[in-house]
Amino acid sequence: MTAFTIPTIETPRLTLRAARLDDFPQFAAELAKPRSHYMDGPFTREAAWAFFTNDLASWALLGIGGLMLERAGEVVGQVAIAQPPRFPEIELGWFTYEAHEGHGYAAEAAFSLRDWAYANAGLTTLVSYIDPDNAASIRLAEKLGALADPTAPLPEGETGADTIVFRHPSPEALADGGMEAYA
Amino acid sequence: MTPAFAYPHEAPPTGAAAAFAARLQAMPPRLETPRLVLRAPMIEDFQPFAGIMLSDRAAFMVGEAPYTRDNAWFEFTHCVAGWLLRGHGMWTIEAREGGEVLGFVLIHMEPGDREPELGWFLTEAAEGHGYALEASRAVRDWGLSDLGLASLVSYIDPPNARSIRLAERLGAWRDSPAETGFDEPVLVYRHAPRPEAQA
Repeated sequence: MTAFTIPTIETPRLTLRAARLDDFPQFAAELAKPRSHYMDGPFTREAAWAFFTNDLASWALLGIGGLMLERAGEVVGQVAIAQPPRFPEIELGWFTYEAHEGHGYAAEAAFSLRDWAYANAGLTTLVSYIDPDNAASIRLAEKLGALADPTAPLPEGETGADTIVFRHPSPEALADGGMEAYA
Repeated sequence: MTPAFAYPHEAPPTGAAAAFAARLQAMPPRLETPRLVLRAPMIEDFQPFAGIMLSDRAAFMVGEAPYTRDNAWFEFTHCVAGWLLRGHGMWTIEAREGGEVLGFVLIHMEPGDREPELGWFLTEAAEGHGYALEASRAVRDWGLSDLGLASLVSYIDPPNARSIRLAERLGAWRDSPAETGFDEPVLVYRHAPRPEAQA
């Protein structure tokens, strides 16, 4: 049932699809790893469940949400456009599973989901909240054409030492310049 | 104009996203009873949901109370996500006349549950009219017949006399063997025909 309403997005190498219950054990295991510290992890299984279900419920509550990145039948990460508690704006976020880093999957998925949200959910802007020490995510944000926006509000309880707000190009800017300008 | 929300993530969507969300909200079954409409939750329903969870009315929610507003949000979203993950979840209970939100009723499994639970909770103003009984009966029947579940349970905090009475009025029976091994004492009421041996 859900496949007809939550979008399934095909990219050159990936299928972005709605989360299923059997995706959760691996999602929780990845969030329990020390490398999730840039997202304020590592997270307990209970916290992972809250994120997992929040990004899914978001589709039914807000018309935007998270999708799993599937490659050759294997989940390699997650990408989400969502607004959990304490986020002042809707965020584009990405998370690549450890064994699949370094192939550009997150970039491929983030480009596609952003395009989808601009075209289908009527969004006019998006931010990504990134830890200043997370060089890989900062590079990805820049590849997406996002720029640091020092005027944007930070997630509640955070300071500039915790988070840089990257603002993505608007739909108009993308239509004018084409993404070649940023790639 | 869009009203300013103290909690931005609780603000309803607009435009195309709102239409998209509405299509997903059309999926859960809409159940009608003499006085109530049970329908899919919308983000606006989080306000009365949080009102219940942040009050002392949540004291009997097994193992969870007291809630923070963030906890209540994640409780709300995982009950909504249930529809997409398991084919059952939470309904908002609305008055047939006037449309007021009276509470929530659910068939749901949360972390720690062993089988799908039939649960209910009302706003303070809606207590004492038999709404929980009316809503729970409709949802139980839908779960057992339309969904084909073999049974449902209600996990009830031992001092919650009111919920015990309601479970008994629903015809549920105490399933003591199912109560062992939980972190905290809990009563398990089972909504299903009694096994022949016990009948």
